[in-house]
Amino acid sequence: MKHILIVDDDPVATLILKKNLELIQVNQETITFSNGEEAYAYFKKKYNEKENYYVFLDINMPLMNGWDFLNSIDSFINKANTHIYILTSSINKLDMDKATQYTLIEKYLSKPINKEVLKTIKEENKW
Amino acid sequence: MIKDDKNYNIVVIEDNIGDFFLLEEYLNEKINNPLVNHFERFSEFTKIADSIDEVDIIFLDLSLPDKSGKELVEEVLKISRNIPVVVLTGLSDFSFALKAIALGASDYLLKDELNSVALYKSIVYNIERFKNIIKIKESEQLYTDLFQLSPQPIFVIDATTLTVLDVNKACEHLYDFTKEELIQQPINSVLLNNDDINFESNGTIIKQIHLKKNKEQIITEVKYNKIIQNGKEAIIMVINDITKRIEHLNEIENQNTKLKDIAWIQSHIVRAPLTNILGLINVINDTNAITDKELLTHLNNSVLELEIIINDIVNKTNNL
Repeated sequence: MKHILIVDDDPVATLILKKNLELIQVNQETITFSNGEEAYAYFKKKYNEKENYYVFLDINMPLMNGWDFLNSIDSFINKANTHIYILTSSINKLDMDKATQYTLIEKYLSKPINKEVLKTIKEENKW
Repeated sequence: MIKDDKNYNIVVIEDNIGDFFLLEEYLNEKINNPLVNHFERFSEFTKIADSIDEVDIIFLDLSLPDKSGKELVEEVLKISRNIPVVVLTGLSDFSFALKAIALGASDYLLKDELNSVALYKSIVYNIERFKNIIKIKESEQLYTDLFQLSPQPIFVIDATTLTVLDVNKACEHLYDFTKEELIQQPINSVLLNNDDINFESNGTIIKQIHLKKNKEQIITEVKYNKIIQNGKEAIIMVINDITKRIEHLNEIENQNTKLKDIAWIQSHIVRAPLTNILGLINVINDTNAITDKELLTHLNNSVLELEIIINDIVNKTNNL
């Protein structure tokens, strides 16, 4: 069982990502959250160690940003089954450097999301 | 006998003609053609005040008809300035001769014991000695000038009582106090919260907040040095007013913070709608969705959003 999660406060960005997933025939239902806090609440309640989680995570969000979300789930999730893809508009080197400090982060992706990159992720994870 | 050939310009202020002639004769015994200006009254002597610099030495009788004693000595010294004054005295007022020296006269001669050798020796000795005194005076003046004209404010304070002994003009200017208002005051009256001064060793530099007369604060770096002044330990405090420097640094730091804010905004806020526009266009291209009104509305809104944000940034940079 796998879950694809989108955590982004910008509905347009979420829409674009969903459309792109459709385009590469990822028909899996996605679960969307508009900030880190909502996503954290989901993990806290629903997280199952035997299942796989793929999270597209924005950095700048209200209430709880991407970094704080990663810090808050770090203690109880299994790194082997949780894959984080940072998906942000930021091209700031500080953000990119910070991303390398989190072992949970699979890739740092700058918006706009590229169909080819999504395809690679799909193949890597055998979606 | 060998006589001195130098061109001495000698003033003799003496009302007793007999004494004067004797003195003149003794002079001629040792000196070739001395230029001797004789005045019988103090009032006559004052007339050469303007050309006093040409004179080498002044001989002064202590009692003249128009002035005598302490007042006479003081008045003559006022005119003579850098010229040695040798007082001529009889045995009767010998004690006053010492007073005259205390007042600043260079030497005294007892008329009753006067001879050409003693007189000549007195001339040579006093002229030479006075040259050295002038050098010391010049050196003192130089020190005073360096202190007074230093662009850095300087306090000299008593090392024991920590009261102000002297301040220079730059100090009066910075603190807005007059010298008179500062002298004898405890130094901590210009320190914020009456802090004690922290003197450790020579050359210590301490950052302190000082107060002007109007209680305005000045951020300073104070360099402390110990010296001996008039046989007592004193502390020299050289003040470096760094208020402006600190203000400039704060200003620069504020600007840097603003610039970082702007960089963050560019990255996270400005690029967000921009990436949406690009993402939407990609999707439109890939899906033949050009007929999809919803996508076009989003595209339009993203463009409008971008315009507003860019305007905000322009306003923010205007305030830099």
